[in-house]
Amino acid sequence: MKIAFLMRRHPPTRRSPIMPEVVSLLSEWGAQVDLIYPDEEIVDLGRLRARHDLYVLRSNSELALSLAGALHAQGAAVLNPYPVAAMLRNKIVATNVLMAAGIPVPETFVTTDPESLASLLDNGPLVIKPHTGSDGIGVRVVWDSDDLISFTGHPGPLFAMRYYPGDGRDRKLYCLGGQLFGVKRIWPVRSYDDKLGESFTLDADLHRIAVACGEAFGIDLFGVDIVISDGKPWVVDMSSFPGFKGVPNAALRLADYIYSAASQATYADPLAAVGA
Amino acid sequence: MKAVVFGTGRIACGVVGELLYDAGCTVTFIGRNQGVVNNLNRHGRYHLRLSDVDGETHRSIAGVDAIHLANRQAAITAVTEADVIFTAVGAGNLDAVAALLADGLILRTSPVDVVACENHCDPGGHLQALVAARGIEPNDVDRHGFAGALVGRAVSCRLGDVDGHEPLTFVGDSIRELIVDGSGLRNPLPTVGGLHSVGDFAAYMQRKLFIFSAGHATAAYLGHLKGYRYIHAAIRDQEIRGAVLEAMREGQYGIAARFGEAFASFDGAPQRNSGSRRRRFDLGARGDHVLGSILTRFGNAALCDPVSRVGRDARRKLNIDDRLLGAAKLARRAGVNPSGLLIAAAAALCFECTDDPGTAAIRDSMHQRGVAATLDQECGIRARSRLARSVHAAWIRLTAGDWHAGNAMLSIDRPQWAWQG
Repeated sequence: MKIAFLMRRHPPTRRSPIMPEVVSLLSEWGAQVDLIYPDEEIVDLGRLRARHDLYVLRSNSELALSLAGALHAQGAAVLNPYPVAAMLRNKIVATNVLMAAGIPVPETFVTTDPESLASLLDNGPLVIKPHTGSDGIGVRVVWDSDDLISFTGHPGPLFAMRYYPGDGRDRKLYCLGGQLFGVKRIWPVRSYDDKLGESFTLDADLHRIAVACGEAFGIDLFGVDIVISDGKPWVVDMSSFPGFKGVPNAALRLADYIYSAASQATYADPLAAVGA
Repeated sequence: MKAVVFGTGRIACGVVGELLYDAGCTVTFIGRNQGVVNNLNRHGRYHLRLSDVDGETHRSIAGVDAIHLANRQAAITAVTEADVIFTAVGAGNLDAVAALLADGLILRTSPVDVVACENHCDPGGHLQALVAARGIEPNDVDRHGFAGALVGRAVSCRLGDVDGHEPLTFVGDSIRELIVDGSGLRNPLPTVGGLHSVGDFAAYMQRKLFIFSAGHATAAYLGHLKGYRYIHAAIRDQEIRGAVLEAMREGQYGIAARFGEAFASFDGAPQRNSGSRRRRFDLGARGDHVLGSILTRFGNAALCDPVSRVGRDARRKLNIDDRLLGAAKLARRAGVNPSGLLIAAAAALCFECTDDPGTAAIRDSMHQRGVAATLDQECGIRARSRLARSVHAAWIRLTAGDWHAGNAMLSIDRPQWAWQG
């Protein structure tokens, strides 16, 4: 069983023990695991071939996503499937899909002209994000139209979502093979312990929202960011391959899931591999 | 020497076929899976991939052929000509085998042994009764040997395309052991390492069931509750590992009280005693080593053994005499509190598995009637018995009243679920 991870290297100062443990477990279980860092390599597109049973798209870089797309076009198994990962990479697409599925998402606007958002501030502040961003990078809360005049945030379309102040900590919902997990986390996070947050039991509302998010994209591996404001939950982001920090036994669960996905990709008849 | 093996599955090919091949037998399999039968005949061989902590061994079992169960005349002829017969078809499928066996055995001039490698409390006796029920003369049954057998090896799956150009491969661990009930045999077994007959077969059966199988089931049922897919992953979870060890140790203590500490440590023959109540057992380092070895086997990822396979047929596995509650009864008789086995039984009541009638029966009963009635009507445990009350209490403690299908348990020690219904 051959598994490749499309990764992005983090600075050594950033603690991130889950993926190394996942890789270690998979190797121990007999899988051949290769780590590919597309942003650090020169890839000869003419020689790009699907040589692994499964590609795990962990990096959210443009290049990693594009290579995943190329491998997908060759018939490679990619986790999550490239079309879904691409949709979720783009907040404009993802938010629209969530809205169409009836999931509670704050009203959202897109534009290329920051100042055109000024009139929207009459109804309250906006959160402006890069439309293909992640990890909270480039996220700004705009309260005043003057902030828009001086806005030099990021190139490309502006993604502006109505800002709802949270009642306490944000909720991170994780889905791993259909299993749902919740972690309460402060925002913005400052330390690794902040990222671990506190595991909590999802109530019926959050459970329903998480299930609906997965169904909207047809996947069972994802993360959803929730802000609860005045008691009402709002989905403010969804990601294709979150970090699962704070989920009990996250690395073991993730390795178990990836091993299963790779087994199904390896054996043409998955039933034959599970005890005929 | 000619050997006939009913079955073309994991145990038939993955265990019995290998031993008979090594004993110098020519092996004919009789099965109902046309694709496998064709593959075995096309290639005349199959492969084994056996693994343990030291790595993998690959070997080929050659000189085999196969007959489809529907080819009745050929199968009967094979039975009449065989020097020894084995079955490994699953206890629920023995009836179809019995009909064919009866027709073959009646034609034989010499007695032959039929060894049943089936999950049943008395596989040999059960098969003999099924053959006798076909209406043949008692002498035509009794002159033959019927013996149960215990399979030591875990075989998780079959790989390969039955219609493909390659022989099939069976994947298992490297344990090489088939223990046969010597009291049922009429002839000596083929001579080969790993195949041996014993006198007190019931003791060996209980030892396997109440230690290894109890641990395996505990890993599967708690693994399912925590959302794991494979046994090798579940056993890496420290809570599950601890619970599995606890359940196996309770089973081991029960076996020690009933058959002696040496036997419970896999270090001697059974010596039955009254099973008097004892609070302390000294199984020594050997006893711990045995349990550690079993945990290592559970962690063998090469088996790729799904939780869903190991947990299948929860109704049978929750029976009052089976691996969890049978072991719990014996442990209690020995003065041991079987808390680990009770938690495992409680988890089994929450098990979900598609396409498995034995699990669906438990699930449906749990939804409609609750714990006490399910134990009573599905598992043969009277609702007001101490055992039933203990399982019920363990279920309440484990689930904290918040169990829903598809929910994941975050912690066993401090019961917490991923979501509320």
